[in-house]
Amino acid sequence: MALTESVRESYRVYTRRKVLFIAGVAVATLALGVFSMTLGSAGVTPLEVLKALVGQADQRTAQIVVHIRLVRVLAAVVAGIGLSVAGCIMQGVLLNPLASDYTLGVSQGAAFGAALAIVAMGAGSVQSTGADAVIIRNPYLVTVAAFVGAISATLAVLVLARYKGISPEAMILAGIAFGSLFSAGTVITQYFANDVQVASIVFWTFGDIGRASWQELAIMSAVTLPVAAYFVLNRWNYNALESGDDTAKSLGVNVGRTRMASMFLASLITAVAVSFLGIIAFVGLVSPHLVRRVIGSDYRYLIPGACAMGALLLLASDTLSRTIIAPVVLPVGAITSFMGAPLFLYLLAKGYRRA
Amino acid sequence: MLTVEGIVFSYGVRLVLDSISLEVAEGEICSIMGNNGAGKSTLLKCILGVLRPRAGVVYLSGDDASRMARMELARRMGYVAQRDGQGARLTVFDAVLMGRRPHIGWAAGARDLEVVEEVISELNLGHLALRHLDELSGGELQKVMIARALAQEPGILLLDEPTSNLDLRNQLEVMETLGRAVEERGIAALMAIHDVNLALRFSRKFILLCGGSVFACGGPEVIDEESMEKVYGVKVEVETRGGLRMVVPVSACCVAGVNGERKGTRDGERV
Repeated sequence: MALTESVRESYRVYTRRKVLFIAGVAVATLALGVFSMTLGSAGVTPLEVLKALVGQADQRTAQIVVHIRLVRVLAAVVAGIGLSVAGCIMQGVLLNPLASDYTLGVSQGAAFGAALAIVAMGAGSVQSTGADAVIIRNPYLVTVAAFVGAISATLAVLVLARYKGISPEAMILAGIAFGSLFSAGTVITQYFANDVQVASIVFWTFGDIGRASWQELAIMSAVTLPVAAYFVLNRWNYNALESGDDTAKSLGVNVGRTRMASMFLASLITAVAVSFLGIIAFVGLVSPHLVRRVIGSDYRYLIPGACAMGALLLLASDTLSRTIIAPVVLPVGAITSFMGAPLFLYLLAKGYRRA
Repeated sequence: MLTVEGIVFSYGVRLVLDSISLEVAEGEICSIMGNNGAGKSTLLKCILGVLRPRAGVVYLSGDDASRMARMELARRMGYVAQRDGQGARLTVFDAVLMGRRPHIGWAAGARDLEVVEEVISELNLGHLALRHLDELSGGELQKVMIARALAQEPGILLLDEPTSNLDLRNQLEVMETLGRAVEERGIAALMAIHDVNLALRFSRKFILLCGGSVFACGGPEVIDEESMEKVYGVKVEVETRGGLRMVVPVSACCVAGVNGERKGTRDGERV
């Protein structure tokens, strides 16, 4: 490394390793997706899955694979990307390693908004049967209401962030307070539903990927993917923000606008995912951290990495939730909480240095 | 060349800077000196455009800075903050590459990597290039931050206490590095600094801030017993050794300097 030539060369090797890691995670997600589609009561082989995907399988298999399982896998991937990238950006612009949609109360805000829209504004109905307890008739109204809920939590966080001295823990404590408030609101809202059943109250508390249909998947994708692209576009700005506001400004970053727009869009992503699937805790916290650990916090690689990792994690959790005590399907939110809560404790114990 | 004319700044009703003017030429380091809260950091931030002064104009090589776009400004003026970049899990190379941000469109090109590599070798940071910032010592980190600002290829460099929190050896190394870079690149550097002797050794021009205005401005001759007592509230003896002035503090004055009441003010809190 004494030669100047080798500095650039070893840097190139170093960045290539990051790209390989991201590609590896993406490939694993793809493989897991195919594998996940073979699981279930109707036995389907991986080959049949691939055939069905290219339209070469018999009708029954095609029906199961494409119309039931594919939509579920894709929903897990899109929601995983969305929640993970939202968490990644929130951690970046708030300079808070504990930030995520769930720990800041944004998800709970979205759930409350969605519940209110369905129960009070007639955007859907709450039934008494367990699995499909909630029927959404007007997904747009639900999403908008969820977004209003999410953004109100976000605004509260942004107001707190203005107080420069606020510590990361204090911000999270405030987030927990907002979260509890919204969760209580959600529970109470559902008691006012026409068919009051305990099962329906669980709907937003623990998210479930199985609730997504093609229409909802389409709306989720239409919001998540362009926003993720916007985040990628701003990657240099997030990197600059890591060195503090003044330095970022000296590097030409519009700090205020970047922070506001990013938080706003991260909330929007969270809102669509939560309004259709319910609260899926900790994906937004865990997957960016896993990626940071491996490839560092350079947002040029962290953003795509977090997207891939989020997709993989949520898909894995969903696959687990379908198979662990089959035929009973556990809510995926419960699985992700099992995974995320220990990491959250670990980060606290470690002294939450940004890693 | 950096020219500042009549900067006025206040936090609310409290006047911090009262019509400050100064000029720094190419290849010259100018030291801003004064007590905590005298407005050194505030002045730097006003020039940088992070804080908006109530009045006054900043000219970068004759062009009005307030009329420049954010990116244009970032290409012409670099800034090294007092405490910076700690904790980020970025490599040294990536941190220096950040300085190219105002020049980069979509992705870092070959020219950007080349500039970064040159700056890294110029500052002898080659062996650290792939280390993470959170593994560096204070002196190394400070050099990386200077490297980042140099990679910006600015004509003007602002530094906020680049040697605070460094041990003696690192203070000298950082200042020598800075001095060489400023001279070779013909940068106009404006630096807030506490250590009077370090300032005397490495800069040619001095601005003494006191009570929100410039108490004195000029070459080493402005640093004398009288000005030190007025500005810092400290009795000193000024000696000359090896052609360099040296300030030896004797005792704190019973009556604090003119700006004694400014201790612990906003500027101090914001560092």
